[in-house]
Amino acid sequence: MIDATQQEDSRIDGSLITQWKAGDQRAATAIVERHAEALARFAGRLGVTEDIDELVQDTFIRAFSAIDSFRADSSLRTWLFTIERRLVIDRRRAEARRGHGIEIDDMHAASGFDALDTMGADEAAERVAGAMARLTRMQREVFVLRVQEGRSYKDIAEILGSTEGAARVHYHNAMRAVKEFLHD
Amino acid sequence: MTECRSPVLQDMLPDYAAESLDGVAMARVRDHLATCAACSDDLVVLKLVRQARPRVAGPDIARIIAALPAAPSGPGIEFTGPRLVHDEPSTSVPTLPPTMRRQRAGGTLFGMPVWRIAATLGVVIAGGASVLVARRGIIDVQRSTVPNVMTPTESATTVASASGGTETLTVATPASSVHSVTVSYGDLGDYSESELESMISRLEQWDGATNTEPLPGVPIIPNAGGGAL
Repeated sequence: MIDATQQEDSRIDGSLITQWKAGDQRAATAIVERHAEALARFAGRLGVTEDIDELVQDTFIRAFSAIDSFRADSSLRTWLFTIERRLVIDRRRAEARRGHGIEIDDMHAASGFDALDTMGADEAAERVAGAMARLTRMQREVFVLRVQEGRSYKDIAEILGSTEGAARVHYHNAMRAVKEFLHD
Repeated sequence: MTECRSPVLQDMLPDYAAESLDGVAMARVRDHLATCAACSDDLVVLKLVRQARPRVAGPDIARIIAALPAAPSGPGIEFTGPRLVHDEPSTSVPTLPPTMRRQRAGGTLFGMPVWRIAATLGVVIAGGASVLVARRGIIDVQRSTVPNVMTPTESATTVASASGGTETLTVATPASSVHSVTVSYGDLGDYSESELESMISRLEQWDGATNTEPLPGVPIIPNAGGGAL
């Protein structure tokens, strides 16, 4: 499969990273502007409803602090998503330790998909939100990354710490579940 | 509904919905959709899901940029982006501990630290003295200590005498005539004309002093008879 957009994005990101390493702080600004909104959107899809700005900021700080460990075999956005997802998991674990009782088990169904509640009164959108809310966390993350973010299965496997085959299975199961819900 | 028989093309549906494929791939999927009801149904769902992207407030880009670490050591392009007042200062300029800052604050004279003034004076004095010595370059010595230039009347005699088996070489000089000899390490221009003429005349009259130093490789044999060499 040829994804010209992702290839071009990777080329631009690689160039910006090189410029930043050479001391050009403006390249960091460009990188943030290119990916901050997608990270905020992804945080919403992961179920984060509070302090999204802080989460995105922490993601970039971690990324720039460890930029030497970034390998160009995946796209920068994939790498940023990976970092952000780990931060979300860390945050949920910390909240769980404090007794907030937030579910962190990937295999359990999510209690809701709050980010989609902000869509408005469109009936189709509400039905999609309802369908996705019934997915397991892993199915929803795979489905969001594949459909709404256009990530490849290889990227999704890297972000979720899984395999391409497992990501493909989660995607098809999610698609089947969403279609069944929408056709009912 | 029948299952899709082209899993490869079915996998490309999300990219088709996002219109991120190149022209050739887009055409292939489009042709496939014309004959595959399952994929057509999937595409409807995919478009609905894409339209249902959550609307989150755009992150505060300026705040994020202000919190980022400084770029690694490079050519030093100055960051001109916005910074928040309450943000932590950049780690690129480390601050001194309070004790060191107090030490730096005291002991100033004319607005400069005392140690710096003292060091400057020391350099100036040492440098000035060196210049003066190099410019003058004249050392007056007594002839008795440098018996290399002699008049013919001051015949140099080298006497070797045995005393208790120990050889002694003595350079005998007349005690009555002590002349001061000027040894110069400077330029000839430092001498007056009369001084130069005097030196030349002395050199012309000098037939060379006996070398009292033993030649290398020639052993000195004590002369038991005590005769002159």
